[in-house]
Amino acid sequence: MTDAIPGLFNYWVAIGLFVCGLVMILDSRNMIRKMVGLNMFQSAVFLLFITMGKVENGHAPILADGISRFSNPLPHVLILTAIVVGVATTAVGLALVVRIRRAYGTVDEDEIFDRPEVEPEIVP
Amino acid sequence: MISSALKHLPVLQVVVPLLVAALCVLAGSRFLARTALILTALVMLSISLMLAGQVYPDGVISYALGGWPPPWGIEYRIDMLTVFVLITINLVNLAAAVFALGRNDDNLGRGAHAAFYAAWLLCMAGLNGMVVTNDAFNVFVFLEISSLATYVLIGCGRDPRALLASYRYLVMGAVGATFILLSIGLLYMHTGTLNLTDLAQRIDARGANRTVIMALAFLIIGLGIKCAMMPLHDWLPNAYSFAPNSVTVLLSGTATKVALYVLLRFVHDLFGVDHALSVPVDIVLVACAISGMLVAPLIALRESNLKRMFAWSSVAQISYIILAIGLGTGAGVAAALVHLFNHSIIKVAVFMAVGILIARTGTARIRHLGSVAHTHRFACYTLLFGGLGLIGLPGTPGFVSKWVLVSAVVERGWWWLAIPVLAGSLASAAYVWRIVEILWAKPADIPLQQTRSPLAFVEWFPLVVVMGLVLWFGLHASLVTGWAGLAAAALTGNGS
Repeated sequence: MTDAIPGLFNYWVAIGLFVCGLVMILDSRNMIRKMVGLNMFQSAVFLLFITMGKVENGHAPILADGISRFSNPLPHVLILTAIVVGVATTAVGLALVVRIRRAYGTVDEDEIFDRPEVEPEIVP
Repeated sequence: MISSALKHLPVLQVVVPLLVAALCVLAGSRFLARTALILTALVMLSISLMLAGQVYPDGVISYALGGWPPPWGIEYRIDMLTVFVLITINLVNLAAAVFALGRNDDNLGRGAHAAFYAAWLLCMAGLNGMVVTNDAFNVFVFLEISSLATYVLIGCGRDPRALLASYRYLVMGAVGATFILLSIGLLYMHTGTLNLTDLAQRIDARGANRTVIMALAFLIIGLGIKCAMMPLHDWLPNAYSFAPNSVTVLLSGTATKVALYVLLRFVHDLFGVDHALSVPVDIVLVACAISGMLVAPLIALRESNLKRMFAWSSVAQISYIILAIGLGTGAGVAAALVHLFNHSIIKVAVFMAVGILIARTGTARIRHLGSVAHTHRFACYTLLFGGLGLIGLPGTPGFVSKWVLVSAVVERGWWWLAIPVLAGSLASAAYVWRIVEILWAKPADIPLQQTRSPLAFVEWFPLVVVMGLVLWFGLHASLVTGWAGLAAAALTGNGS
């Protein structure tokens, strides 16, 4: 039990980030803040992956004298891809927010959805 | 040369659209991009048909990417189930791509068209990749490729609310994808492998612990968002109704269907639905499906926008597929596949007809559309026939789906599940009837500025072809049901 906090430190941080990010996505009405929450949420999962690749006293997997324990490089490589995907998601999300701001003049969901619904006529 | 290219068909299925997408952006011309889109769609459909020809005698094709053998390298695995889904989505893609050449209610400025078609091709590359790959992390990457392209495509709708719909889908979709990533991470922690076949064997050998159960929970929620399972369906109605018409056609027949395929693969291959992990996966899926079947048609009944009404109907129809997956039997898998195909072609026809109608009348409001059936006969009659298919009247593919589904339910011993299935059909009859009444009998409430422009070839031709398929498969069900049976056998035969 005494080992539960320091020994699993990264996992606790990951859980904390995960929950904070999810709450931020669900709770905030500002669209940019939502994107920040989304990034935090994704970072939690990245941290989890990176942590599981680490082996105690393990080194980078290179052939050199005196190195016999290796960390697992695969999760790190996977997360490299996932980070790129996360950046792309953020970029598309922010681009949409810019377009929304141009169309509605605000990035606050409450302000946008409080307006009366008008059905714009589609010009054929 | 040819024979060596034939060996690489599994990877070409993904690489061709990926490369052409890049070329589209480079070319930058609308005409070239359109030509490339149609040609690529044709090539993709031919590749999946050729793959079907290869798989049918051999049973399964295992393609090692870059020559690295399976458990270590990335494996593309083609079996009867894979080609079934590949043919479905590439058929839909071809029809939607031709339809996209017509009047598309998008907000694209000059020079943006090439990028639009590039996003379209990227979306298809991702979806095809999700189907052919046998590597868990690859599924995530392809899922994100297709999702990001989908957000862009939806945001191209002319109504500014398309942006809001796209943003909401992006937030939900990204949460779902992260859940899937987390689930893959937990599975990797437990087993040390990412190859799905290998994963299934190791989970079988080691048994379940809390890590695997958590992975399963995150996976079902993540995929539930992507395939619009009832409590997680929130993004779908707005995304479908504000996206450009051709994009709605494409998404209704491909994106959710591929998510359902992945759900089928993971749930059946990896975990086994039948309480193998002492978790009631089947109960969860069936409960979500019942709520979708009963609630969604009632919302559709009160919907004022024609496109969103059929989007709600999609939520309802997807529930039938989830119910069939939740049964966890071979007959259930076959029923899921039959409905996956049938619903794809019916919904594609319906959304094409709706698109033609909206382009001609200039509105999607149902009450503005009184009596338009007399001026727009072709669109309205295809809409009517598609609606009958959604209800599941005998002679339509919908009837075949419901028949197979109810037989599977009875075979599983849950005969009472036939009650919500039939109640859902009744409710869909109600909303289809409401549309028919307005389109044919009600006087228009405002004078519409209708355009009588004749139907363009690219508008009526794909619709006629898809409608022909709907009619053919309504009367000759044995091809689809037979193939679905083989595909189900391929799925339940390996792994669990």
